[in-house]
Amino acid sequence: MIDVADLQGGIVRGYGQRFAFARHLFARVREPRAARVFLAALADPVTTEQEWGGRPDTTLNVALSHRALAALALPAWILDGFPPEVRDGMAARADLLGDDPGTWEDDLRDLEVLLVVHAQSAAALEAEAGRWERELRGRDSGLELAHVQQAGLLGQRREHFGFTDGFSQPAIEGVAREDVRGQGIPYKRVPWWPLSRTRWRAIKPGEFVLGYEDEDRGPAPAPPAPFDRNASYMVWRKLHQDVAGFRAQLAEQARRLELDEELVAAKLVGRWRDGSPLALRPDRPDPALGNDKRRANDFRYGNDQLGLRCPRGAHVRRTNPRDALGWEGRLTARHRLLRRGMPYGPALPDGAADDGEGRGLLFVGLQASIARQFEIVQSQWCNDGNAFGLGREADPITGPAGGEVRHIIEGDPPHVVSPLRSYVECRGGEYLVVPAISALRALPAL
Amino acid sequence: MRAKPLTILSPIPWWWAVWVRFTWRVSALTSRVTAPLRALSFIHFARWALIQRWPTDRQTPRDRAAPRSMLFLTSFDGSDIQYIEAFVRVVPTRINGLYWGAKGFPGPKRFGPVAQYIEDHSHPVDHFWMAYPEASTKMVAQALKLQALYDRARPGLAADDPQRFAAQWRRLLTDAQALL
Amino acid sequence: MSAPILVLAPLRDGEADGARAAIAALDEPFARVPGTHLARVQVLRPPPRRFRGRTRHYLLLAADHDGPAEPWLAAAGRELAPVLAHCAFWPGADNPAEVVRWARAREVHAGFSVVGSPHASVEEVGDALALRERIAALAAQTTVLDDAALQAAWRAW
Repeated sequence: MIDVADLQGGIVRGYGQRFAFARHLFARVREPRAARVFLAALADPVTTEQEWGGRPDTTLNVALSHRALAALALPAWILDGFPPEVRDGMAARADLLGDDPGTWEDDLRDLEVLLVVHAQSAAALEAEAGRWERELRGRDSGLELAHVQQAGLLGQRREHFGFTDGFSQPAIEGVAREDVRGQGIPYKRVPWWPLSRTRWRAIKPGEFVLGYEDEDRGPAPAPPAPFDRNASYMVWRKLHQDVAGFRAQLAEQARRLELDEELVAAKLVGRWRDGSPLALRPDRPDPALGNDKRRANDFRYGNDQLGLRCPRGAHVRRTNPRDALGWEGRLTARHRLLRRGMPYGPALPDGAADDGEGRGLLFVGLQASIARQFEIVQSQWCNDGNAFGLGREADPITGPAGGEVRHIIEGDPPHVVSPLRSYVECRGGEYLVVPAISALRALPAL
Repeated sequence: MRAKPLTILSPIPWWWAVWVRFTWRVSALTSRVTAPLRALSFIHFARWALIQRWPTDRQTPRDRAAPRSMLFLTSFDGSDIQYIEAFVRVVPTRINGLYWGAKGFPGPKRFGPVAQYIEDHSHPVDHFWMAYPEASTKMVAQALKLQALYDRARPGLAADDPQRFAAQWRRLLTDAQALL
Repeated sequence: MSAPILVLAPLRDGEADGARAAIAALDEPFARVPGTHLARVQVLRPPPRRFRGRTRHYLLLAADHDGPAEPWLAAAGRELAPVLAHCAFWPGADNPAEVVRWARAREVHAGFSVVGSPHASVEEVGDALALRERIAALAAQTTVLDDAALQAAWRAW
């Protein structure tokens, strides 16, 4: 049983569509002793995983990078206990991730302390986030406000390229309220019997929260107390989306291939814009299916090895291959992420030219091991195609920015979409730890 | 360079060396033992050798401090994590058949202890070279299959008529799309 | 591909660092040894048995190659001479027969192997990979070019 009073909220269960407004506040440590006291005092207002009596207007979360922990002057035996990728920080892993930190926004390098406020209304966001901004600007916090990033849902669960997002979150044991079909781990009751039906089970919580049993009969390796329990690792990335460029490229490729533009879009992503998956609806979208979270995720790729329904290189197939790599999904089960991100920037109206506004996705991924989960997905499945028999070809949506990829739409005959540029570019980010409430309280004494 | 090399040296007792040698002789008679390992298509090669005597050259005095060992050499595509994970989650029985008696082997069923065992028994490769460094095992296998398909299609592609050529070309692409 | 080569040779006492330095100074010697698919060179030292003192350092040379072993060993011996010179009883690279004899005496035989790629020579693999790239590139043009232009593009290979 997860200790819900000690685990920050928004990790194992997202806050939901009602919290459509968010502000991410980054701060640097100015005075470690005061900063520790300030962060410890956040233990009370920070939202936990406990059930709400009534839905609050706002929620609050806090995360710390390893740089922040060092700036707080935590002892070396604690700092050294974090895994290498967290100690290195995301910029140092640029080669692996296909990033170019030289193009990052100045404010989004060397990030330290993150406070995130989610709210049900713009007014509530302004009141609550505004309050924390003032505190961070004040002398007493021991911190100084470094960067503010607003975010907000676009409506209809869409992201800026027009696709319904937020599907296929892992179903966690003890937490999953809905059907785990398609969102858990497939298994056969009688593994050696070919006619044994495939069922789904929820994923062990230790894959996402430190201190609990994971799929390796763990718990996973963890840093020293108090960071060893009820904590999670966050990957935070600001992903800029060139919407006008993406739309123009889509139109051009559809014209070149003499295919319907919506079909080409779906073949790049693996779902139609309404969320209905190609694996179940290869020929046309199905809005009713797209709206049905249970059915829209209940599929596998084992009966589509050639990619004739959903291309082998499609975005959703790469980011969650399910059983596409064989062996009933055993090679993909431990590389899932909880995604809690949100779009930022205003929507670009259909047909409009680029207006120079910043827009994209604040990607927030949570897991118990960044090296095993996010970094494998990004480096081995998105930035490379070998696992899917596609050689060096990268994800047509999130592949290395500016690079050209070749995307095959399998069929009789196949169509090769080329050259295809990615219109998603990382503008900065960091690896952070989301500490337990008790870890926050313990900071002054460490 | 895509491929990663790994060298692991595992001390083993004499009785495990006897058992392993016997099982290797048996496995040479059937492909069923190696089939699932070959199906892990990111392995360029994996080789195991017994070192009963250090050094192997009998003219050189024996290195009495060096234990009887099983030497494992491999090169693979992808990350170390995925490599170990495949052994633990897909072929643990095969791995147990090789390592059960090795000193300190923690069993094949959990990733963490196996990863630690590998770290403890690995020896860094100082120089590694590949003739086709940007190609994975899968790409090589696909390319060779594609070559065979292309060779069969070539007579049809040599047609003078452009329409007939194009039809043959599209046929080739349809047949070969899983290899591109 | 023929059988793998695996040579395990003790280093002369005190020459492990020298061997490592010589390995670090290598450029791409195996590029000049025809028929080499993959190869590795490393210094290793087996962990000692308890209460038996220290073990020696060894040089491991392992490769997968085309064709018979003897010419490969002779060529590799020439290219790796600065490294192999640190090995005990190294006869020098001038006499290929001696090099082969020396290597054979220190050979370890792989009792169990799993090979991922089908059997093909280095040249065949290279040709097939290049063909794959050409086919994929022309496949990307297939919808855009008319039949005559497509045929001309293929004929130009």
